[in-house]
Amino acid sequence: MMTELSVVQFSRYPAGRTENDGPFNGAKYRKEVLVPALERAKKAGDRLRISLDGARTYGSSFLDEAFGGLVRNEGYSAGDLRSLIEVVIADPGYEIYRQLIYKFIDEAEGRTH
Amino acid sequence: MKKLSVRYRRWLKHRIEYTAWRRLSASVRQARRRVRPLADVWTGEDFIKVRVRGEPLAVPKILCLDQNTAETLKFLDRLRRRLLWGSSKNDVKWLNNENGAPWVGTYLDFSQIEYISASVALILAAEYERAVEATKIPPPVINIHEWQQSVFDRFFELGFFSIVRLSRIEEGGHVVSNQDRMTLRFLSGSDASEAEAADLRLLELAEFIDPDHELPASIAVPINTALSEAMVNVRMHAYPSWHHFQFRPVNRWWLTGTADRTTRTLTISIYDQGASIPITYDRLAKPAGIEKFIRDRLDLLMTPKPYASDAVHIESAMRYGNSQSERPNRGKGLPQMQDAIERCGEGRLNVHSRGGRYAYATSTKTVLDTFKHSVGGTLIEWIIRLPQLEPQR
Repeated sequence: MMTELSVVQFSRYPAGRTENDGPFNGAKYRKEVLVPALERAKKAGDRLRISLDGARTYGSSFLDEAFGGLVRNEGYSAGDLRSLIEVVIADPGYEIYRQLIYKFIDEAEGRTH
Repeated sequence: MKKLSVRYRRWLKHRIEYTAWRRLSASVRQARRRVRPLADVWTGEDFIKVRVRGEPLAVPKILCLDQNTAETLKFLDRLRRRLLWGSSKNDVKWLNNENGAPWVGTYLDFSQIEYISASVALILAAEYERAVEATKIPPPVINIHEWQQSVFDRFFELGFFSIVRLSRIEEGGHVVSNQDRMTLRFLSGSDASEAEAADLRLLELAEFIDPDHELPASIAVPINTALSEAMVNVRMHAYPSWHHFQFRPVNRWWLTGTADRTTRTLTISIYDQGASIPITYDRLAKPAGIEKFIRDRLDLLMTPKPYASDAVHIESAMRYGNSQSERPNRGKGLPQMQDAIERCGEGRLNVHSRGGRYAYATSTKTVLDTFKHSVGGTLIEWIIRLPQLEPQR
């Protein structure tokens, strides 16, 4: 059983780290969407499947704040997240951003430890 | 009768000649004043006739940061000083007045311009907008009827005349004056909340080049991502409170784009009037490896003062990002801007910041340059050639 999430439901133009950078920023996505969805998935014993397709921007500031921030600010470990999250794409043009998400998660753990 | 001394005779002769010269030069001055042409000046409210007392100031024929970089930067520096010097005073008057007759000492003669690139027109528009914001009165626009048609069209399409209150273009609308080239009305903002508007403009440009195909996501997403990162960078780094600005900034970015059907080329430019990458990057604490990279590069370059190290600082920022890590291409904002070019296939990236320029092309190696005059902030240009797509069935 999978819990599904699509970034494009949050915004087609996610960008920036905090409220100062824009309305659809990484901190907001993490706090309002990712963390509640992760908690739901954990409780249900599911994995969280996150689709990247459809959004028109994936700035590294957004991705790092949203996903790296799960390790830095929300207390998840990179290992937890790798087992809890599956980032999926249908359009191969989004592959680079999928890789960046895992990279930011790993790097965030490297920084906190 | 007493005979005049030689010395006194000489003095009298000199006096007669001097008086004659003064009379002559005064009459010449008066004649010149009489024949000095009147200029047609748009004041922000009306066209009026204005007397010009001096000679118009020369402006380079080519205003382009690719083709005539040093002259263009020098011109922009001069324009900036003329527009903003004393702009913080409460009662700025662009025109002088003598007995009810308005006059100007001199002015930058835009009729001499034969070509202006969209990026330079964008910088110029941003400077005019800053001047309007500081003084609440648009700077005068002089002898528009003498401007070259292509230059007028460029300014018109960009939206320059709406800054000086001469025209209004519907928000989001655009004008195409040339069937092979399109310049978008500029967009301005202070953060990434305009990312959608930028994307819509990008789609318009791509549609102008190729009406039969939508811009593929493999190109649109990296460019939009690069633009949104540039907007975020402006918000986070361009206008730090600790920096002393020579002229008060308006804490915004300006964006435009052009499309050329003949070469299938898209050019996207984003400009800010911030402290610049060399200033803000230099202030970041950097690991020893990055400091060594900068020192080594500086030793290799023989560059003129005062912006000797600017290009190297831009290169270092593009390579390592704003992070405090030594790992290249770490995926932070600035490297991601270059990444967009690589993903689009064939293209170039130019980053002008203060006096430095970092030029990257997919087909050649990176080139660094340093100039005597500042661009007045940071200008980033992406020049992308769209691939020829198969006809749709």
